[in-house]
Amino acid sequence: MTLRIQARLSAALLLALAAGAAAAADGSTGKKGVIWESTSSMEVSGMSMPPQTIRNCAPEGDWKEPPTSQPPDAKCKVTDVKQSGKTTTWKMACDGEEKMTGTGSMTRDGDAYRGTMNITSASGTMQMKLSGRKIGGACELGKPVAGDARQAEMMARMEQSKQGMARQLEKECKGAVKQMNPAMFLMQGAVTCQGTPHQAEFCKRLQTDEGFRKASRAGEENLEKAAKLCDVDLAAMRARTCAAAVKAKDLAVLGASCPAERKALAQKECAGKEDSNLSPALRDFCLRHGKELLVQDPKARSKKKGAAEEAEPEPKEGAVDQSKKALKGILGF
Amino acid sequence: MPSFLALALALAAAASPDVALPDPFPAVSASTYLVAVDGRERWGRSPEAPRLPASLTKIMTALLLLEERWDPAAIVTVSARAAREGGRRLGLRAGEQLTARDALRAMLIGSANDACLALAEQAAGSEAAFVSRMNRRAAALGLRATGFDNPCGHDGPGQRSSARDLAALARAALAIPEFRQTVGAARVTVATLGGRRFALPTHNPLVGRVEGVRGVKTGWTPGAGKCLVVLAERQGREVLVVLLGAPDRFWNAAGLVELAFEQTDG
Repeated sequence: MTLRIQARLSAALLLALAAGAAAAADGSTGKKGVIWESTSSMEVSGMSMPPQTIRNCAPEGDWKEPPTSQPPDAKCKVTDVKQSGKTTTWKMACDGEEKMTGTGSMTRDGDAYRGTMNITSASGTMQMKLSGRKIGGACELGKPVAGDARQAEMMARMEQSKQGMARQLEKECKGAVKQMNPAMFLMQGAVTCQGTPHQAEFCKRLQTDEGFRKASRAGEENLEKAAKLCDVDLAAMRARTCAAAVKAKDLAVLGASCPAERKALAQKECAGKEDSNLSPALRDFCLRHGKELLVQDPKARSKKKGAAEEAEPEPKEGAVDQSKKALKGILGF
Repeated sequence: MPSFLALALALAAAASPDVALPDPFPAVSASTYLVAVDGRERWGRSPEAPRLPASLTKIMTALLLLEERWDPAAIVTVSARAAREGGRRLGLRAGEQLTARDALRAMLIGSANDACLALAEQAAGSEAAFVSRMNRRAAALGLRATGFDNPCGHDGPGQRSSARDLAALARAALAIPEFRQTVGAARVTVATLGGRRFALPTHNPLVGRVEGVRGVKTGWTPGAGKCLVVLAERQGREVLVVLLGAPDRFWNAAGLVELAFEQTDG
């Protein structure tokens, strides 16, 4: 379990405890509660962390739900909540940057409780011991308890960090749509523009020639992911865009996403021409696709051998010739 | 018995240095070529055949200079003969001086024949004496198809080498850090002691554009055609490509580098 995940989980658990089992951690509920003091201590993969104590606001009376947590980038579900006498047990599973599963148990005895949570992720195990006692005094659920500066600071810091992350994501997503960069838009892990309001614009632009051309520059794998996200017919879009790329002399798109046109272009424009006679863009194209001049068409090769070998995916029959015709006279370099 | 015969033939073939290498890319437009991965020959076409090596000759010139009492700060004086050298040249004047390091860089990056001859004359006293050393060194390296008439790569009856020999020669030179560092440069600036400055971009467009390419040497003469030795390194693996008489040397080398990394095992 990474230190970042540990720290986030620990902070989130404490906040959940602080906010009270029935209260949202990020705001007031308007409901009244009673002040408790909660202590948690963690052992991560055999290593003990110092205990932390905070004052929190818990509902009056019996708690019906266990004090679980929602790490900032996790989606946790609590299942199998069972109560037996004074003891509540539950299971927990979180998706997010790092998947986690866990079990918890808490025994409430009047004005005190004691419990444990065992959490497992790909990078290790964490055991958290929880205990608390009622201090008394009125408070508002979901709000820091007056006088608990540490809790208030922790909540403020989390809120700040959440806002900062949201601002950063907004900036990244706007940039990704502007550049039509699928790699940037999809990103990795929990931080992604997928599902944000920017997705509609990204997908709309992906279906334009200009947007598709730009997106093609991110490479085939990213383009496929983007097409899947936007439910776009990649083959049809490619055919239309490659024809447009030939007209626009867009070597980057031809190089990245138009195999038939690329081979024809490499044969027409690179073969027999020395570096110094070419434009810088075409020289780069010839270097990047030099192997197009070397690798034979699999169909021609198998015909020559007369062997029944399984052919690799290839352009439609005659596609190279058609592309050659299309390129002829259009590319003026 | 037949299986014993097959084994014996296989062993005999493996022992022979002249075993034909596969040439899986007949579209390589070269009279002869060789691709070696991590020092092992993988693909080629007549790699043993002697051909005119053009300026790839300068790899041997550099090797000899760097192996024999090399002093990069030594002053090289350009002779009248060196100043008259044809082909690619800096345009050095008779009597001009420059450091041995700058002359070496001009020879390897700019392929400057005037700097090349000036270095050879300075090192051995005369061009002929230097050429004798080159031929002795070629023999010592076991370069059976190699011989030299001149140190700079002009076509001549005794000027010859093969793709296989040039690969071995390049490997020997690349073992010297100064050679390796110099041939990998995309651009150098050299100056005479009199203050004339020359900006020399590499003639190898693969440097800085094809991942991992560390340069080495280009060459061209009317007799040899276009020639190239190129080294590429990726993730601890090394591909060396030699192309002689190759009209599409740069595109073919770029393609062979990619294919070698893709299709051969580590």
